[in-house]
Amino acid sequence: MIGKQIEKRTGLIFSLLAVVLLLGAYTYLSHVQHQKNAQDRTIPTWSQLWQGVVFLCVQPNAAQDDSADLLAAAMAGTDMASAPASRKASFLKGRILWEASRATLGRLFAGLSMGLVGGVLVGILMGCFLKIDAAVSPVMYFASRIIPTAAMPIFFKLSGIDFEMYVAMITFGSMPIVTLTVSQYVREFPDELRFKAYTLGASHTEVITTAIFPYVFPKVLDLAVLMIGPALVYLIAAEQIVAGEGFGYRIRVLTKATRFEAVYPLIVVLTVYAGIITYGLKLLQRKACPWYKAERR
Amino acid sequence: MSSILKVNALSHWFGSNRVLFNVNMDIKRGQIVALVGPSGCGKSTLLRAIVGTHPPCSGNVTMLDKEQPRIIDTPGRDRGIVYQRYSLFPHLTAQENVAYGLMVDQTTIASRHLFKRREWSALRKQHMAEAADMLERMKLGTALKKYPPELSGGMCQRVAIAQALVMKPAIMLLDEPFGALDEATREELQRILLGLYAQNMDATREGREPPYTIMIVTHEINEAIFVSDRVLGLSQYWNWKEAGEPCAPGATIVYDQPAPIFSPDDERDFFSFRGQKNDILHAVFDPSFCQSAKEYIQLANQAQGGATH
Repeated sequence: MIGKQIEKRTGLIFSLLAVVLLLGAYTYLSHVQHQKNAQDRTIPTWSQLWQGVVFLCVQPNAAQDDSADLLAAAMAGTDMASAPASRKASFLKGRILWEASRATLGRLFAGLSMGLVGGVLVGILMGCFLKIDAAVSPVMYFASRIIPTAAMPIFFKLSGIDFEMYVAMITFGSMPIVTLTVSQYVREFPDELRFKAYTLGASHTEVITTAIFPYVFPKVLDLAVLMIGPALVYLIAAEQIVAGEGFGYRIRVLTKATRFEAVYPLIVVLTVYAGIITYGLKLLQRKACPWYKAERR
Repeated sequence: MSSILKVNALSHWFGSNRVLFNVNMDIKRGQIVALVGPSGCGKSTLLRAIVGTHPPCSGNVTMLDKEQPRIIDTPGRDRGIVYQRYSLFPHLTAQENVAYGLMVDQTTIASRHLFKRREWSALRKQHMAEAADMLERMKLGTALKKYPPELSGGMCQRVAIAQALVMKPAIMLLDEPFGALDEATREELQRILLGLYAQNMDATREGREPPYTIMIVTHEINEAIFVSDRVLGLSQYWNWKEAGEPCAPGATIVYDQPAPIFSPDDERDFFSFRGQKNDILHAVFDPSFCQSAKEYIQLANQAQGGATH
């Protein structure tokens, strides 16, 4: 029957089966590819992947032997010796995964936090006060249609190619959508509850802070989960173009060097990070808004 | 008995759609007034005007609970409201919902979070105890920590009534509060209202002011007669031509009569007031019956005493 519930164990078995099938299909593809070309690194074997993982996170001073960076330097018409000092210093720290994670996650957290906080504040004001909505919504609608990756040159020009640029790009990429969505959530707040809050003696500020905000907060967390994907897209794209560190940069240079045994683990780690952030937000939603699950049912 | 709320020549329209015409009513302290009328006659519009969320196009609503009469144009804590739907804040437990009004009425954001945090902590405990006590009286002692989505419809409405009552409003307005409930729950809640009326009677006997004034909007005539001491009928079916109106001007009060008074323990025998029910059906709900708007109106002073069952 459509929509029939299944046991938790059955669900788990099906999930594991899908993962096993995926891994099996990859193993088969890799095997076939290596039959054709034993040196192939585009679909690396499991042992090659392990070497890639070691290269990324275990091997000390890995960047000294990083042919991908050498390649990048060569393509830029320089060599490692003449690479900018700050960049070389970060290479010498070695563990690529740590450096890339620190750079990418720092930018993601800063940009997404600012986009969410700004979007929620403006969105609540727009949802509560129609004059603000009338003034701000055309701008936000226009801004929400701008593709941040296409507008990247503007961000480069306005905020350089440092940390601020990434934060600005993620903030401006996510804030209009967050603003419009949150204002919609606020408009969905039942009139009856708003009127009731007033009849109980609440002021305008109290209606917003004690009735409307708690009502939209779990939905904002859902929205934050949805915004992780686009924010990472903007960030990785920008890192691939201008960054000297970060997942986007590492993926670009390793791809150019055809070192896919390290690219794949990077992509998996990035996905795991997104998964951990999603889990953290869902956990926060469960702990901070215990009523929300029952409400949605 | 003194008036607590007056509706004076209230009319309301939405563009060319005339909804209410020259509505007048005078609600006395301690009354439980039921407002009945056909669907779409403007009962909820009238209630919104009284709550203050939708001020009328002409006429006014005046609160007389304090020395200075006040014309109503915004919602205020002197009028408690219980709606049929969305009656509780979903993010608060039953107890927190009841304590919510006490919190926002007696404190400010600054006092709670900045300047008087210690006092607020003590006051919060007091509010929660008051809320728990009120919920105990509503037989919800086991549901204090439950969130509204975890409660049944009847329990939610009991919490909503407790939430309004704990504020001791001058008048409590109920907008079809039992409409979505099953018959057994509906009767249980009707008896809660009768219990409040019994407390009014006790207060009057002891020379005190009756504590509860209630106006209930319902489309259920039996319910209206059973729980109230006065029934008002709002209807668009009246002889407006006789009143000199060129076209249908909207609904007005066409029925205002006392209702029999029941105690919470009385048997709910709808047969005993079938005569009044037929009168209401005839005067308020029958489109073919076009009487003068004053035919079934008994003067408020006579009505407020009620008829003993």
